[in-house]
Amino acid sequence: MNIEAAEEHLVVVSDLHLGNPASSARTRLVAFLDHVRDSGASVCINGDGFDMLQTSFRRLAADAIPVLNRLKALQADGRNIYYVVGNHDIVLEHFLEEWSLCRLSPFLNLRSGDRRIRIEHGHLYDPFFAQSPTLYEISTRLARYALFTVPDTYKVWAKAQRRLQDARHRRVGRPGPAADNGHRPLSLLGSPYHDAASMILRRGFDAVVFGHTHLAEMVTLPEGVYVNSGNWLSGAATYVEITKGELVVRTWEGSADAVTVREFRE
Amino acid sequence: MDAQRMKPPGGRAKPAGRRATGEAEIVVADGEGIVREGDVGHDMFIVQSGQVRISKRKNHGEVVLATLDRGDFFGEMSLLESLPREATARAVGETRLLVLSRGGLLFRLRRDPTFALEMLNHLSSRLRAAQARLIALEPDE
Repeated sequence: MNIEAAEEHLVVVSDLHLGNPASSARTRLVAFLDHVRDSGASVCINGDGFDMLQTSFRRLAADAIPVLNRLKALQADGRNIYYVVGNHDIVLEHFLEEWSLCRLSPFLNLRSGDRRIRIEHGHLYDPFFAQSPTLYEISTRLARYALFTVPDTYKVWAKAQRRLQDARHRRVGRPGPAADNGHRPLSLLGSPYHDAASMILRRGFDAVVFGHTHLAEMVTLPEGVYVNSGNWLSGAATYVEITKGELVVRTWEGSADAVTVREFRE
Repeated sequence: MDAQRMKPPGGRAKPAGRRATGEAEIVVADGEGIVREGDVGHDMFIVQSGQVRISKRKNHGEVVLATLDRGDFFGEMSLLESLPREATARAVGETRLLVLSRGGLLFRLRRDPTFALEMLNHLSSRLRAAQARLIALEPDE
């Protein structure tokens, strides 16, 4: 099982949920991967790329084939494709291996520039998943029916997630003002993902990149930087670009003029 | 965590932080010892920054077994097996270490489960390397 990687230019996307009726990732992703191909970067899909819990085979195939073709083109150019397993594609844990198209890993310890960066989906730190994995899977599968009936169900869920995060922020203190370099001071204590990132960062990492929450963010913790690559289901499509160890969270708006959300620079 | 127990042979490591989780951080100066072969110790170490040279006595000299970088760990054999240190560890350049007690390791494995997989991965690599050395020592028939 290979968990070590070295890349000087890597693009990280997560939570594409290809095949999910609420996902609009396919069309946007095809254009995005063409842009990535021009930029010469390798690609990491950081979990929940293919949604195997909330899809039908017909839908998954329709979404996956054009994306796989773009990934194959990237690979033909000599770029590396990494796929980190998430909770909606957890069945892929049985296939952790170096495949002809991509390397399938439970997480990646990336060396880029002089930095060490952990790339991991992050579902292991979701309290619901960690405490009741069976109940979590059952409820996720049940939600599939709601999504197939009313795809906008996802928007309700996403709104609830944002409200929960806002409530957590209010409970533990409001975020302080961003510094000149875009860093936010530690003010979001209480997030299980920030706690988990802190634990990992203490093991000699400079940054941790998670997905899973669908909420793109970059937070400076005392031990290093926590980044979330967001999602491609609906709304803003976000990704993390790593160049020689420097991390930037960006929003893809359908052209090469991507908008920088936050930057992590020294 | 007993600060005296973490004191290296050179004695100049200083705790840089202490947690209720059974973890502490120490900074060790260049060339200072961290653990000494034959000593009793129950902590393991993760390199946060700098490097650590692992060596073992042989006849009247010392053999360097490995040089560890950021993210690497050592000292786990004594922690897991309650046996004296198998080798000596010295800092190369100023080195910052995360020190885990037994309770600290168990706490970390629960909160940071991917560390278990990383440990297994490293231990498997070390076992493979040790086997290769053993085969190399065997005379050809």
